[in-house]
Amino acid sequence: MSNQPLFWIFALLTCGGAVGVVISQNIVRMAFSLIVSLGSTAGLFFLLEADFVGATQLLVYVGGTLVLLIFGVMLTASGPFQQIRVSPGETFLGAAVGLLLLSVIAFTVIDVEWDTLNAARTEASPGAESGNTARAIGLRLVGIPADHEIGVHEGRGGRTGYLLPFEIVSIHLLVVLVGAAYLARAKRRVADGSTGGEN
Amino acid sequence: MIDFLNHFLLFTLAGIGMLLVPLAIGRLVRPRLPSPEKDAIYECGEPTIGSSYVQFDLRFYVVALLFIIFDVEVAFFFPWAMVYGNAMQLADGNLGDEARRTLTNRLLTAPGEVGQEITADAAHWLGVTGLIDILVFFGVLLVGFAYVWKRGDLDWVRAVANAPTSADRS
Repeated sequence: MSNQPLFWIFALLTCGGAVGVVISQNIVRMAFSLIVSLGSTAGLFFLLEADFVGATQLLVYVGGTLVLLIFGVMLTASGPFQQIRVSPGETFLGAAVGLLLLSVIAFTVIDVEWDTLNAARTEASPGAESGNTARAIGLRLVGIPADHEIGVHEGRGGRTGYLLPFEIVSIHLLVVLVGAAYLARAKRRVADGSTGGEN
Repeated sequence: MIDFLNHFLLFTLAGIGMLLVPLAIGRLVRPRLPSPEKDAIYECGEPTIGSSYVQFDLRFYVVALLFIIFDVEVAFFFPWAMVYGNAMQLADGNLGDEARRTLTNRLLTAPGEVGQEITADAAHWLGVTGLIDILVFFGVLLVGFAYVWKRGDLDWVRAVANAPTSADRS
């Protein structure tokens, strides 16, 4: 890989941001470290020629989730320089969960035969090699399978690409939307219980 | 590949540079005459009332939550839009062979053989199917939007808007 040094820089930034989130005790600095970490992850995606995933990472995580997080900070922060203290039990539990996740990821990375996988990937969609993946993803999403020649096997049914998952995604988003609205309303009811407004 | 890398490097460096250069120029050029008024937080003569570390209204959080849902939805729109635009260009029956081949290669992100171009009919079919797909996708989410709107989660002046209703019910 010719972009090895750049990849290392972004990988270090990602890990450094993640470590910063863990080490820092100031919630605002944690949020900033998370921005660094998630933004560098987007950089890693771009370097791996996954342009759509990288853009989505920037759009959804850096642009959306972090805004939510900062609003969360604004909701909870009760004073400047508030420190978060954790009990030893929580530290132990967090470390155990983190190490378990790390071992799962490490074993997965070791187990995968990357050379075979790369060859298969190049064969499946040659355009993906140059970081041009959005159109290929779009074709799969509207229901064209990877090995389907448009207009050639048009009559054959039964092969629909990822059309069904695509539509299921929208159902999932609907569930999340309704659930989030419901939870927020429940919280508000608790917050101003004096009005007793049933919504 | 190298081209892509260069773009990426250029973008990163330009981003950092455009941030640092104005700051550096400002630091070199600006006069430094501090006064108590200028050292105040907003330096516009208005004394601040209280601390900014107050608990913000929950409505900000709700709006951010709703924003993320539609953010994810928009992210799914981009690949579809690229395919749809391409298919609709290909659906033009008066397209020349050369243009048709270029557009086909762009749509399939792979160099195809001569004579394998997507026909106008197939492209039209692809575009219309894609449009129906995305309308279903969007329609499902519009149900959620209608729900949120109907239940009043989008009303910013909520307390006033809902006060008579809750009084009626109780």
